[in-house]
Amino acid sequence: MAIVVAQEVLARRYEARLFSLASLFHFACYVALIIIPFVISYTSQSLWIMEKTGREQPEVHFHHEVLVVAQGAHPSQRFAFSSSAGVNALFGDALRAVSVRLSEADENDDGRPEFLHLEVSIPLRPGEDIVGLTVLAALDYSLQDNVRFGTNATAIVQYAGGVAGSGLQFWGDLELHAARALPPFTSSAVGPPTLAGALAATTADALAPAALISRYMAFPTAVHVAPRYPVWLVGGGGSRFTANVTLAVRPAVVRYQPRVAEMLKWGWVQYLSFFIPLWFALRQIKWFAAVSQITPCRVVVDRPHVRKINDHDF
Amino acid sequence: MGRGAALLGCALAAALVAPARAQWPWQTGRYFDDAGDSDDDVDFAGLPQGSGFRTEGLTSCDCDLTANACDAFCCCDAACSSFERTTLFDCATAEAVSARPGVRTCADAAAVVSANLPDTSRAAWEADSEDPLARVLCVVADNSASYGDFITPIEPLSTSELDAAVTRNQTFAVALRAGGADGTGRAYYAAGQALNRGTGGGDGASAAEYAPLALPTAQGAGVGAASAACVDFGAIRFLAELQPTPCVTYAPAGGSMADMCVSGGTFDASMYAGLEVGSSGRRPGANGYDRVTVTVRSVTSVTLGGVSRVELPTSPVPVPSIDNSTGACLDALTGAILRFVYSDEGELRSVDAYLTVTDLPAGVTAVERTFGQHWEASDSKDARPRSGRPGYLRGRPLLSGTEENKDQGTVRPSTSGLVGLVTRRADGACAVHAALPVPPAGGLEAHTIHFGEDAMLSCQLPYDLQTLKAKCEAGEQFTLSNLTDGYIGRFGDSYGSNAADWVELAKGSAGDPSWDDDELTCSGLVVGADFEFFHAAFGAAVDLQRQIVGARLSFRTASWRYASAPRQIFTVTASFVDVPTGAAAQFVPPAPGLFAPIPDDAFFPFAVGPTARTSTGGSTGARRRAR
Repeated sequence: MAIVVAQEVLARRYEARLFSLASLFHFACYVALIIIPFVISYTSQSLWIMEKTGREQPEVHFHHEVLVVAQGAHPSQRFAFSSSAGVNALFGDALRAVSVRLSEADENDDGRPEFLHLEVSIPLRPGEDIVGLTVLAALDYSLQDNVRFGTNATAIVQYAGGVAGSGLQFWGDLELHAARALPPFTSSAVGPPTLAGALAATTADALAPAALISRYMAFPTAVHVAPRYPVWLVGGGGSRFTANVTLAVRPAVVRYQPRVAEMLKWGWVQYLSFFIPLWFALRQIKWFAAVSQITPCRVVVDRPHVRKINDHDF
Repeated sequence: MGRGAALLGCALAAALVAPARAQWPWQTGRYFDDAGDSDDDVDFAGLPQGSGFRTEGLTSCDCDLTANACDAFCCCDAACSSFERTTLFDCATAEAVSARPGVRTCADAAAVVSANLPDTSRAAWEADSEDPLARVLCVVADNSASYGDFITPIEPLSTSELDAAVTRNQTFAVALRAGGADGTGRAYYAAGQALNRGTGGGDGASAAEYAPLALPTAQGAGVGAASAACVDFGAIRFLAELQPTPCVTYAPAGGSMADMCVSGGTFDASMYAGLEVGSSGRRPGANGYDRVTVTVRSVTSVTLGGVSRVELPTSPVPVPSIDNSTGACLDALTGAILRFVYSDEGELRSVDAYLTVTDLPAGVTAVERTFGQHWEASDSKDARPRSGRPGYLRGRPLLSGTEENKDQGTVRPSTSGLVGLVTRRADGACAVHAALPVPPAGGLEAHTIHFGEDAMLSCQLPYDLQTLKAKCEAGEQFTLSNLTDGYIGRFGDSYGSNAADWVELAKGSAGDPSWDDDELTCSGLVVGADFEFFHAAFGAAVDLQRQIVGARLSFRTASWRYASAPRQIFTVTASFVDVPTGAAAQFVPPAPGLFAPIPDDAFFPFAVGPTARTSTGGSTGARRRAR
């Protein structure tokens, strides 16, 4: 009795001349194997990923530039203040000695504040009341995890109580609005100008909140305040108007363009997903064409080159 | 079954939205006479009866809400006639829809669109059924092993059982009793409990004399307040600290302040004189009931706007009155700061009042007032507030101090921190060299620097042309004359006796201004001061603390060309700069040895360890314990 101690495969080869129908078909299959997966994966809209989505906590800090404009009870009565001495000179009699406090709450000490607090205190003379308030505070906004992105931002808080108030409690969220996916590397130059740049005006009219907001909104990528629950504290007659603004900086869902390596990695997987089954299919087609002599070719069978051994040699 | 379900839904909805027990005009009696009711006897449907479960005749009908009358669209109402149920209400022709055990559950015939019964079955059904499809989905026989779970009704509860049930379920009665300032009879005040007004009844006084203490107050500090209006008479709650908070009192609609300018009103400062407060939560008349008398410590007369202040005698406390010639309200209460001292057993020990009164001219419709309540433990002698322990907490006052002993390097901590850097009047003008009252009152507003809070504090320089010229030529700058503190606390609990707990405030120079007569301009005038505080993290990474590692003050100058009105803003800024620290170092305590260490003095005469060498006596055991 004998047992198999080793084995080798003897192939049946189908050969054809270089310039023959079989050879042409053979090379055509190879070309198709390369091209067809690309065409399929490209036309199925999934070869190159143009943008991805990620969630990350942005890093936001105050830029220490503030503009405060309050509307008095009389339409012509206005109170204004800014952090720029040059701008204050434009306000004339509307200028008020406003006090501003800024603080950033970073409870988990990761360097990225979760809340920004802003307090504005406007002194009022007897008979003066405030019915509406606009506060513009410059921010530095940056993303670092999924994409390196930094931009100037302005937190615009605007509320009109309609009646004389003693204060405003304002809660809102900071949200990044990008018209297009953010490129992998973005300089701050593409964002809106700093508040100081926006305040580089020569007339007080150019400092009207509507004008500043209009200029800010012109930028497709900007950070906006989504007001949540503003509370207007009704009651005039006090010596000051105090606004407390709390802006939550929540993890942002960021749309961004992936880097080249990331794009190639994803595209390779897509290509390969069509390449492998097509390779197997073409291999079977070529085999069938050769076996059935659809593409005429010569059959060569491997022969074992072994010495004849008799059974009694064992 | 869509149509049938919709009908049932409509019936239930109609029952739910119907007004409960409306009294119709024709119902004249106070009570119903239900002696003749027959179909609404209480039927504990589905309950175990005797030794076994009842499976026959167990019905429930949720839509039968009127006794002795047919409820519209109620297919199971026994008071409804067959015509009403099948024709008017379009109910199923078979038995009422029910899920009770032993009851046939049938589908609404109208809801069965088609049935694919074999012809033989269909013929058999059609032969003896009024509606061939009505009984298609009926439960003819229930062979379920279980009839379900049942709850036996309990007997009416006793009084004690009612009390026990109330403890498990909040009721309005319980909530109102807990939240009301009714004095729970406890020998102490619980935190948040309203104080009792003291009564002269003493022992034996009836509980009906009990009343909560109600005084003019503000509605709470800032965030969350629905209005800035003062509360004319509000409850004072135990341990509820209220920082001096401004609020506004308005004249009543259609009236004037004069209407409120009466004895016993909200403007009456004399209400505090001799006012008695219950010392604990005991009700008047209860054993141990006691009271404390409010002591008026000061009465300050402040003019409207806070320009001038005059101290008045504390007795008698002025009573508001109307000036018949001008119509003004004289000596109206515009501020009350109360200081409560309590024991650690929750009892009041003393109450001090610091009052402010103001003459309100006729025609004033709104006046700003300031109220505050401070709570202090009786054993808190020499207590001082911290701003963190050990590191600073964000939002807490930045500690400052002045040099006490230069040789020893000790610092005398300021009681209020860096405060009064910008003191301004109500109109926003800088209060130059104004003595700052603590707490700020009378229209003067001061600001405190808080840790981690960048601030821009400003006021308008009140210089006219002559004053500006004189000060400019004299080289007199407006450079924070109130700032006497030269040291900043490194930690939130910096001790004055420890020089290492303080960092010196590096002050810049202001320079001398110069005056130009032709241009009416003062050059080199200080228009602002900038504080920069540098802080860094330290301590365990899981609980980082913050310390101040540097502080400096610099002055900003500008050329001020005088205009017709003073528009120059003096601004003090405070910025906190985070200084990055190195990577956290991991500390691994040494592993304990397998054997106990040999005491240092085990071989005392021959080898002396450091502890033994410095020891002056005592047993070995004592030294070991000391280690």
